[in-house]
Amino acid sequence: MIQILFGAGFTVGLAMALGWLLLRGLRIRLCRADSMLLAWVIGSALLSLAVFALCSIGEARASIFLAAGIPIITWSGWLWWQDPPQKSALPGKPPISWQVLFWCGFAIFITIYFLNALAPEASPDGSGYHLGNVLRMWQRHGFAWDYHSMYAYFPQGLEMLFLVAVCLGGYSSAALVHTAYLAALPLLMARFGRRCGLPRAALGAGLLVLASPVVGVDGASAYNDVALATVSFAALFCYQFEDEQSWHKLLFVIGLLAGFCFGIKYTGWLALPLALWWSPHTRRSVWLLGGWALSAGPWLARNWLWLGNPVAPFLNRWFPNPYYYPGPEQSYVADLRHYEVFHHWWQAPVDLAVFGGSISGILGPVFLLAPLALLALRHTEGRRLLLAAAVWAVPAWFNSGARFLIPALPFLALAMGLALENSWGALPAVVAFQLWACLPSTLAAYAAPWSWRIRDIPVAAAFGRQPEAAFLASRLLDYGFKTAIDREVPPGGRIFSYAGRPEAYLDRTIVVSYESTLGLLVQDIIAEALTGDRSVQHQWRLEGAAIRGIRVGSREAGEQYWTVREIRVWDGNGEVRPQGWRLSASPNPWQSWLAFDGSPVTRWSTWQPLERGFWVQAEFPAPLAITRVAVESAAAPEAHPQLEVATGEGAWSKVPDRFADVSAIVPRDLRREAMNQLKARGIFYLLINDSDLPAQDLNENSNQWGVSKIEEAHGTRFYRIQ
Amino acid sequence: METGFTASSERLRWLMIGALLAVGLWLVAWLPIAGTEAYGFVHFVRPPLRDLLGGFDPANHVLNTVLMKRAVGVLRLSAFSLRVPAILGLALFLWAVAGLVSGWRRGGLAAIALAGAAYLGMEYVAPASALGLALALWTCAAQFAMAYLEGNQRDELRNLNLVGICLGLSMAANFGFLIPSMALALVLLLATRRWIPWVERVMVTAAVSAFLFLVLPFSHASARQLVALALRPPRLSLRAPEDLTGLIATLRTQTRGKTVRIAASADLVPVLEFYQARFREGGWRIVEVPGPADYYVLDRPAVQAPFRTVYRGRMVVLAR
Repeated sequence: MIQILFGAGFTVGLAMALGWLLLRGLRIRLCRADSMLLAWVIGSALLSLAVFALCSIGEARASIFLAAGIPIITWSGWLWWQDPPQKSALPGKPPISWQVLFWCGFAIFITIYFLNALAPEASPDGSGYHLGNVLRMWQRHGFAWDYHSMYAYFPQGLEMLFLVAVCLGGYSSAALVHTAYLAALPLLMARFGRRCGLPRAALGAGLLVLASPVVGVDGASAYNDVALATVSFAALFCYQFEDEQSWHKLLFVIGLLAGFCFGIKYTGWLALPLALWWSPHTRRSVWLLGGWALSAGPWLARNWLWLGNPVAPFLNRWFPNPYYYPGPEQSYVADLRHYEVFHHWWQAPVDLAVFGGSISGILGPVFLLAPLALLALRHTEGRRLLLAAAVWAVPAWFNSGARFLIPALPFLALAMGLALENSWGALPAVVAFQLWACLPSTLAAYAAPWSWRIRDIPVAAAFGRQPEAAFLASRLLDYGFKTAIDREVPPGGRIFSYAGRPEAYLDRTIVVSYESTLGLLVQDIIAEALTGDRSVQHQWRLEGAAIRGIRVGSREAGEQYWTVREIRVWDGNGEVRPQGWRLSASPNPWQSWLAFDGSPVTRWSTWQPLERGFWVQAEFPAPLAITRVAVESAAAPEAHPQLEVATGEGAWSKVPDRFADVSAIVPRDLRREAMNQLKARGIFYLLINDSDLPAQDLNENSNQWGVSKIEEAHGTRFYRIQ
Repeated sequence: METGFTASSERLRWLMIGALLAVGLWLVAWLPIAGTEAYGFVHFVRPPLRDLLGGFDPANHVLNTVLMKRAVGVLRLSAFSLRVPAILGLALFLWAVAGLVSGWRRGGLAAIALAGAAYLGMEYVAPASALGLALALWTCAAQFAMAYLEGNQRDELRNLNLVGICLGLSMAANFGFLIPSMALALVLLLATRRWIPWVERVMVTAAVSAFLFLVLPFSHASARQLVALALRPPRLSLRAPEDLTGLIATLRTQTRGKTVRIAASADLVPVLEFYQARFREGGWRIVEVPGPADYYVLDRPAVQAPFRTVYRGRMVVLAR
């Protein structure tokens, strides 16, 4: 436990030190409370940048963190001691009763969250790709350039801080770092309210957000939504100092924070237009943009240089690259947007605020009173808050899940507080109700049993009295496979899975079906073997003229991807194998070779809906006297392929259809061939859930597939490919 | 003279209120438990609060249930403790009526007496419906609204706040008071034409007061169910409740220390469960007829073989 606290404390302390040094360097003089809060948030952006630089050169190590961090903390502490900031002298202190309510509520909920964060990290995404990425960076002391997964392409501004924490204290330290953002958020809101002359509204709003179940479970885990909310709110908070500080320095800091929002996650890009809109100095916005570029630019540059797509894994149509495809990108985005079908429109807000059964996460029942926040439109500050809330709510349209509303909650809660402030007794009653209704014990009475929330206070696990393995086995079903995986799979070995797994603990490369082009290919290979080899062959007979290349193009359009399994070529002496051929395609030129590899289970795919004019081609090093060309492709979609031949340099001519015929291919059992292709790609193991496509067939026909079952638990099977 | 008249009529009114309260206290202590009250105890008061948050029942009048649970917790289970919300409602109602008729030189006393009698009568024919408590809170809201309209500047905003709180609690006590509460609020707006204080002090406060009690139980209901609940007229029971105290005493004597199955008709099962909890009869296994049992509590006076009547009441018998 000491190590965990040290890891988190050092990370937070180092960030605060860096933030304090920046504020001093820019001569931004704030009172003590504002200094501490903003130093933490601003410093975390700087620390993230510093660790990014270390990761880029492969020197992100605990020794360097300590060697650089201790002097920085010491120096910053000495400067603080020499010239401490003044205590706040703001008027409008809230009544004692409100202060008592706030600090009691704050203490209760922060204790619950702290203990949950201290326990071993067992959240789905936290133990999955968030800390999985951190683990890889820890092992390689920098970015894992050879590891390809869409989740590794996301900006990882917060994972930079997690890396420092994990290096020094383990996974729970990372969760505690996120909890530090959660603790800062209501305090920032309280300071904001004090400066705006809305002390009670802000204290109440801070408690509404702090007690919100989805905020709590997210903030006590190695996620990043609460951090995004805190940093985006801090950017708004900085505008409170417009009368006290020089504008260009303040705008630079705001830009830095807005850029850090982008560095935390892509949806954080909204911080920039909001910050620009709030800024009353249009010409000085260059400082804001400069700060933003400093903070966000490295992530864009990293992806551009690494992947050829600055915003990977998105916008692959605009930035074609071999690491992710437009079609799976569309499917992924569509899946994220998929909300459960509600029979009536009012069921959605009720589920979001109360049950959390269909929309993952619960905001808390009082947020059903959100329409009352419209009363805040009467005030200038209310309009600003509501606009910010509306802007930050936009990502929730594209991502089902209550956590995507977390960045909007502070602004919405403040607007609600402003609206309820003049209704005597309403605000404290609402706050007290939210505090009671969002306690884990009360939530258990009305929330859906499977809803994502904090269920208990794992004191034993937090203080190390319960073994970590036992705790994780009770929370993460897949953790039960760790022993078998450690025994069976060599270090660096690959396991294919359709679903994400707790990569942070399994410590092997999990190739997930939808996360990478390799995963998509493996998924496609298994699907081919499973669906019974339904394909057709288009064949053209040629006169044996000297041909420099062949091109097969589509003449139809459709919703499905066009795939070509094999293109085979014969001359007068028999089939000609590809040797020295230059292969290409449009789109997806990087996998054009799959159409010529001689394997019936691998196929070139457009990986986006079929359009007219897509093609795959082979250019020969020397002219060949081709007599026959056969193209095997899936029966659907029917692309009515057109064969073209290159008779001279760059001169392509179409082969008339009268030379073509179409025939069906006799289905073959491709199961074992599929597994051979997986082995050829270094995948020797499978983790298959009962709900996965090949689950039943793998279980019933394991001999035909050539797999043997190693272990089975909780509806998941672990196979070895023989 | 006028001051003397006013002072004496004031004293008479308080005496009348005191007398009506005394009658009310005597009635709640003396009247036997009714079927609806027993149903409310079994389904809403006895289960832990968490069970109430997990489902919607139109018969669950939330504020009433919360008050009954607190009263039972403090005073132990009895017919009296279940009726504490009704007595509280009577006190509030009489206080509010007295406030409304305070300017009446003649007829004020009669108004209080009639209002009190009407309240007690309503509680008699519709027990456990929370109508009385809801009506009392609504009347309090009306009284505060009158005070606000009479222009007491010092307490102006306080009175508006109290209007909102009382209207909200009225709806929380019985959701059927949604429309009367909205009507009173609209009347107040039309009388004052001051939007902003009306919205802030009345509407928001009323909405929040009702919301805090109703949000969790009502979140399990459909919109149609809520509309039906708001529009549903109160269910009255014209049949006087049967006094089962004699039957219960006989049953307790017969079953002392034994574990027995007791079968009863659907209407009487909750009443028996009330007395089981009241007297802590852990050996009673109460089931609904038909079904094999050691004792039968039937609401039909004619008992045939093979049953033997053990106790015969006015409308129920105990047989085995």
